[in-house]
Amino acid sequence: MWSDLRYRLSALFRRRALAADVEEELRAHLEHQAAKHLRAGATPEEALRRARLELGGLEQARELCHEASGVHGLEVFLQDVRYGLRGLRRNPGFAAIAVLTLALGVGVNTAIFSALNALLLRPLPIPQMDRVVYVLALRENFDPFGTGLADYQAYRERAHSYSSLGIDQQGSFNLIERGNSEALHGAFIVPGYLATLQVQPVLGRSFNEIECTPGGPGAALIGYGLWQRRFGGSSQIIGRTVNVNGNAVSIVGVMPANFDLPGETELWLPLQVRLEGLPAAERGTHDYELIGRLRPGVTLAQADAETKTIARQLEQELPEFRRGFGAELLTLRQQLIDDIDTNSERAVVILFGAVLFFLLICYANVAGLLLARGVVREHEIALRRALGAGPWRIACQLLTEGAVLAVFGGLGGLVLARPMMQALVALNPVQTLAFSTFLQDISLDGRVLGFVALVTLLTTLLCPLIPAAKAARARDLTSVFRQGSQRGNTDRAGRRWLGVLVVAEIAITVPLLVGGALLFRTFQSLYRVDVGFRPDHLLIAHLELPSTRYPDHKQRVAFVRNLIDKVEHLPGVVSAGITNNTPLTAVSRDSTFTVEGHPLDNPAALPVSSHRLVTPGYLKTLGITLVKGRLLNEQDREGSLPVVVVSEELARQAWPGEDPLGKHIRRGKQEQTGFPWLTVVGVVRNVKEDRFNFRIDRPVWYMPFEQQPSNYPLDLVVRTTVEPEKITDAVRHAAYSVDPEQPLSDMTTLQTQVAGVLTTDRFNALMMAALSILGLTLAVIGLYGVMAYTVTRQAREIGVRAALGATRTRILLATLGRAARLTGCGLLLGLAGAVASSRLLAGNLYGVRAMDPWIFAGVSALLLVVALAACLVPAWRAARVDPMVALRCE
Amino acid sequence: MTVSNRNPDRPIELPQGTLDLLILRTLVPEPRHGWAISERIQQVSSDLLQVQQGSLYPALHRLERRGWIKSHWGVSENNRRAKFYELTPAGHRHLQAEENAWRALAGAVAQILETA
Repeated sequence: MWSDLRYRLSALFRRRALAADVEEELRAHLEHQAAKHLRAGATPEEALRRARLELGGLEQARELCHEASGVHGLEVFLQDVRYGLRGLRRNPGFAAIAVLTLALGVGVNTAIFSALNALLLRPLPIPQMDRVVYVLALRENFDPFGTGLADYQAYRERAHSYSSLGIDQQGSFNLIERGNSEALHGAFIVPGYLATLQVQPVLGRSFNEIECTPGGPGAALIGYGLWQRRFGGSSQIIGRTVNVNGNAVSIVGVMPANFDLPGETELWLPLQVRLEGLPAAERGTHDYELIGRLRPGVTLAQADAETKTIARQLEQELPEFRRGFGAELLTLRQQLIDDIDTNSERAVVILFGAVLFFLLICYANVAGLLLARGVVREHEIALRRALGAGPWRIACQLLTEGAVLAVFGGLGGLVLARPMMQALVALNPVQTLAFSTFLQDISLDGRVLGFVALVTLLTTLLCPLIPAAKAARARDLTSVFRQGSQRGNTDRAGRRWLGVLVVAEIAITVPLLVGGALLFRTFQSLYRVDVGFRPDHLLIAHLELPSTRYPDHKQRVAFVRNLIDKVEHLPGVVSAGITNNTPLTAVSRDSTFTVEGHPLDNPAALPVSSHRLVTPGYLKTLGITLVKGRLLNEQDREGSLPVVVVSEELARQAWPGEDPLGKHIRRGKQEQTGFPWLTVVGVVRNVKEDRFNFRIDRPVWYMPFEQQPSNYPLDLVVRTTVEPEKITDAVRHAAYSVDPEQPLSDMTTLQTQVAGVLTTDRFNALMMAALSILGLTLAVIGLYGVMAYTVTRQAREIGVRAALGATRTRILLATLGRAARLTGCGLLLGLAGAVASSRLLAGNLYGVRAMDPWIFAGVSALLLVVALAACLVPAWRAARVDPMVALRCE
Repeated sequence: MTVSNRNPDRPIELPQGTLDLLILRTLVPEPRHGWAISERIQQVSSDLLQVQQGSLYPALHRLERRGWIKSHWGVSENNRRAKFYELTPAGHRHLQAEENAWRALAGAVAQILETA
């Protein structure tokens, strides 16, 4: 095989030398043969003559040798390529349109595939990433929660599906070093966490067992970026003691560059806990994240089934904390793209499907162009056939010409894909929790280039398929010549194929349009969702008061009062408030609730409310609307009557049909009596607090921060008159003036946070809208081309009909009728396809039904109108055909 | 198709690839140039088979392309520059396989002719 190729190639490039060789060899043969005849007694002339005769003609022998050397096929191929290039140069208009159409199709596909590649396919710097799973606790099978130590313990003891398990707890850590304090994303981890990921520090070591036991020595792992930024990348860093959250810890290692699991983390501390003998209340929280590596041979489904079984056991064993909770596995990759409902993955896959549809439309258009040109070239092809070219030879030639187009289209696609990919990076289609350097790196790599090569190959095979098949079919050549000379009887097969292509284009466009409209409506509905507050002009910042420095709730209350006072006095600030959780963050604090005098009908039910502890000014600052009663105020402080403000949804669930004001409700389940009864003093409009339940209304309650001793991380919310970004420094300084060791982190606007929820939906809506409009445009151009072409070819027939008395209106209607038939066929097929495809979209829709009749009707009407409009010009031209001119031009 | 019987009344239709087999076999004892190969085939077959010289050279090129023989320029017995061909190890293996196949086929055909 290899020697064959080498021989052919060397023969190709040494063609002249090879010919000389053959010449010399044949001459040597002749001389030897002549010498033989001489020896037998022939005269020299006679000997040479006989030798020549026996060799059977020098020229033929030469030819045969040339073919045998294997150069022939390659030469023919190169000749076809040259011929194809010349053909494109001769028809620059055709070439430009075909190449541009292909480039557009390939470009869009490349861009979207590169996004899909980055998010879902490209390997991450974790060995066998697809074997690492994330364990999610699911309340009542829909509401996602973190897991706890109890789950970790149970899975470690009982599950056989995992070769390794690890657990982490995220937090904000204050790193104080040389008097410089900085809030960092941090995580407490067990040694098994890094072992499960199979990630090692690049410098130093991981945590050992002693460091992970309560009272063990303080240790820390730092991120590569932090190491470079704060410690100058010094190799002397190992063993250095730093202050984290007021504790002295010793740096034991540096993690690899760009490793930032579980959540943009830069600092890892050992989780110092002894599971044995730990009270159930501490084991039963949902503040942890559990990951596992599947044992070789175990599938995700098997592990999921086993995990669910153990979760059911836990429900029995720890009913107080696990009742109503199941478990679900997802891949860690899915969790990292913040996609626990697989919405984003589905969105990207839907989009990829849509761009493939779009590519098909491009193909159909180019195939139509080639076919129309093929009909024009019929004469040439017939001539070649008559001169002895076989059908296969002709088909090969057309395929090669198609390949030339495909290669140009592919290269053009790569050029077009570049700006599109940059736009994708800027649009940032999917939010990621960690590894964003990899997951959002939408760029060309080997896999994307392979995809482009595949698409180009597909183009080569598909686009010229119909013209090639048509040309290869044996035809009556004389009829072609006669037809060519008369141009009268149009080529029916060609027209039929063109019609098929147009019908196909329209049929593909319809599901694209329907899908685009559905997703656009979805985005509109989501965008118009009443979030329950005014997200504009709100600055938010995160802070965590370490219990080492703020052990008492009174101290925290004092800090918070001081901070709010300072911030509210800043210029450009209207008001400020503190909450334990701003709306729509990745993690939301929840609490179960019990209503006085309303025992649960279903003992398995687990009523849950978003749990918000807020300062008196918070609800006003956020712009939450009071429906009934009053908001929280300065009088709701420690020692006064414990009160709560509830959302309409919570009121509806707790006291259906009753007035909630003055009613009593408390935290915890029916059997947990540790929490005090709270009196409802106000009802507010529903607030979208929980990101993962954005599409539904979930109960929320607001309690006075001062009445609820706790040590939650806190968020500062500031309503401004100016652009919120403008006062970030002032707010940061205000916090420093209250406590110089208390940094604020993650400063952003609430608007940004809200927009983040809809990133994927917005992206999908925009892309689908753009794709469907482009697809429609191409399909209509295709239809126009076919009609214009048909009218030109039928000029004589039309002329005859006009001469026989057909009115212009009738000719116009006849032409429009053909367009309407093609469009109608395409539309019907397309609607059938749309019914099937929009069902696949159902999971991603909101505020619109997959079978929305208005959208189906609207798309049909739009398509008909645009298609007929595109055919008006050719139809009008047909009606204007002058019979005399039409007949004479034949 | 490439080798024909000398007697025009009874042309033997030789299966495809037979010429290749004969050429390869001829090259077993020593490297030869093209004319010598055709002479050798004729000689050994007692003039029964004569290679059509026009098809000999394409066959040689084809065999060389497949890597079964290789060529070099040398000087013939007539003191003339000529292209000599010799078997490669791959050619030896191929010849062995082809010989076996041919013998099996010939044997089977003979058996049928004698007994059936």
